[in-house]
Amino acid sequence: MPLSFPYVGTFTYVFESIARGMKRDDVIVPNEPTYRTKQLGSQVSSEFVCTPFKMLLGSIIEVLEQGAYEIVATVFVDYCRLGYYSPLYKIILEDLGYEFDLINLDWFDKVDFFRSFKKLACNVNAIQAFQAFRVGWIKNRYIDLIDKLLYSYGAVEIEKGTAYNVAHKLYRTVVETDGMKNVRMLPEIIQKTFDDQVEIDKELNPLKVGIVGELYAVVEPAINLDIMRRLNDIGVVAFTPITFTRWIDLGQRMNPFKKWHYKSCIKHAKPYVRYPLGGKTRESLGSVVEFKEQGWDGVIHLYPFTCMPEIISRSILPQVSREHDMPVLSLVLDEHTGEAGIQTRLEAFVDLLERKRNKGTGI
Amino acid sequence: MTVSEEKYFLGVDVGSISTNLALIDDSKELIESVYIRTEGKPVDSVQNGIKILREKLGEDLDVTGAGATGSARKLTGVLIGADIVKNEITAHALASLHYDPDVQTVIEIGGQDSKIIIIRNCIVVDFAMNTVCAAGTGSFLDMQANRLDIPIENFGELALQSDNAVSIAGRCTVFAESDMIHKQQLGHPTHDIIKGLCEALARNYMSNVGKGKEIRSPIMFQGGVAANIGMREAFESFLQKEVIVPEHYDVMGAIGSAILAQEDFAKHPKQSNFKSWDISEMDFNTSGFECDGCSNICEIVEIRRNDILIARWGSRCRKWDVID
Repeated sequence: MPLSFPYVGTFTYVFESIARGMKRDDVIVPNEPTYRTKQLGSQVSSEFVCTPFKMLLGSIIEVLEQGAYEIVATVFVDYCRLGYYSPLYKIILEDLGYEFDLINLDWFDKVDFFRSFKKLACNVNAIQAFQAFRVGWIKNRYIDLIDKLLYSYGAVEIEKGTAYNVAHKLYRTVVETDGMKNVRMLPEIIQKTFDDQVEIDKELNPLKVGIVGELYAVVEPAINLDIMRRLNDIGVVAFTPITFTRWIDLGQRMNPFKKWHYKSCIKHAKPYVRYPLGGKTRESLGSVVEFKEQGWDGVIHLYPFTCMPEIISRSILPQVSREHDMPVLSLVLDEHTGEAGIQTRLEAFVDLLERKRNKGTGI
Repeated sequence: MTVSEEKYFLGVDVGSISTNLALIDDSKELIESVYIRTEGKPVDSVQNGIKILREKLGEDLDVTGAGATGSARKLTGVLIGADIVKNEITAHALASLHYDPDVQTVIEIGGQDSKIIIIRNCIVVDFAMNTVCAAGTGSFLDMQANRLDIPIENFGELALQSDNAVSIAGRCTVFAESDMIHKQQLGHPTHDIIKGLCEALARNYMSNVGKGKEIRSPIMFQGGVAANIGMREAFESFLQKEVIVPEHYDVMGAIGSAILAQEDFAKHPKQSNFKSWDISEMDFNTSGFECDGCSNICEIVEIRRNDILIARWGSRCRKWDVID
């Protein structure tokens, strides 16, 4: 039965790798969300549900149209509406009359998790399945590495667009690399390819901006109007600590010495919020302090319209920003494509950072 | 063109409702300005604005640098040949700082958006713009003035006549309008309703745009809505602080843009890209088409001057962004 999954930023490549590793050759790779995806999703969603819900649903409908039958979905452990996504998708899609099997990977229900996982890994035995998953989480590290390099090299490249093209070739290389030995070679290859193929201006001392906020809003360029690339275009290095590594990378999770960005953020957020309020509230607040300590210039906070946890962070952020003298820009994202508004805010924010750095010495 | 020792800098701010032009000299003093309505046709209004400015000046002054700002800054930049294209927040902040170097807070309300700019020690330290809602901006006031059949110019004075403002919901324009109609049908006098509306908008601005911001004096209020004395009063009574409306409140964006051009020239002197004062005579043509390369169906816009393609944009994949 053709297997597919909704498109979620560059994590899609990891997913594709895992499915390939499990010898599923009937994988339908979802396309990048487009205007149509948004339309499809919002037509059948409740009006005030958050935008990620609509876009993921749109993406699922698109793969169903392409003939997918098994759809992988997951429950997020972040305590927000995302947790109820898959049961709702199931009801909505059933009402629409699609024939499908929604495979829900719910980590909280361990028995059910492995039962679902077994369904996915029908072509291989348990050891092979685990191995495929392991390769997947390791590849995820390298996909993250490409993202990181892309949005740093992109800011200082001489010919605009080279880093982007290099990164897209590398994503494919990562997906198509087989065998643990070859996979282990990848970080070196990635670094070398960037060094060799992207010509950069070493004189520049670009501004550095951290991107935090709601998971989907940060990782999916289609909803955030490619904000990281926009920042690169105006010569700013962008970086986001929010990736899927913290969940699927069991290797790093079991390593007691691993320093997690989000854990130190949660510590920093303690004076403001002591309890988990769902989503990434504590992380968003704490990362302002974290980025400040690491010498970054500013923080951009992204959240979808009607996102409940991030609305809380939005109202506490000005205080954190003031107390730590760290500029923060909060942006609400929705289905709209009014790029001018986002661009204006980004440019003004970058001007602000630049003037702050030069302490008012001219433009 | 007359060749003179004096250097002049042009700033053009094309917003949703108005198009403003300002010409300043080397010491950032305003020589002449133009304020006209955009009326949904930015290209025409830029051409028209240049024409009016030229007539007002009476001679073709040598433009050393030109800047463009406002929501149509990209388009304007291509039309006039701007040397610097910058966002309106920076432009407004610079213009305010020029008129009052001590300014700490700038309230700017335009046609489609409202902003707050927080300045400390002559540096912008924070800013905010209205997000998903346009309540409390110029176009809503315009619409209500139209509905009540009051010229927008008299709106503020009418509000001042009232000393008993009715309460109106300011959160959402739809609710505000139904509140206003309700109050009007109950028989409340128009000026009380208008005053109530001004207060509601000021309240909404402070809780929406100004949320969490520390507002310190001196406060400058600019943008088209600053013409409305009622709004200024409403802000003053809400903040319990004095609110200054600068002399050229309506063209501050254009002045800021001209200042940017001047600062840019002072740093890197170079030949200006400014086309010439004949822009109004040139034939600009914009056309659009839908790209069918993928399901994004991007709307591509092409701008031609005298039938030569000078710019093209609008595609998400940047396939069409080719020409300067």
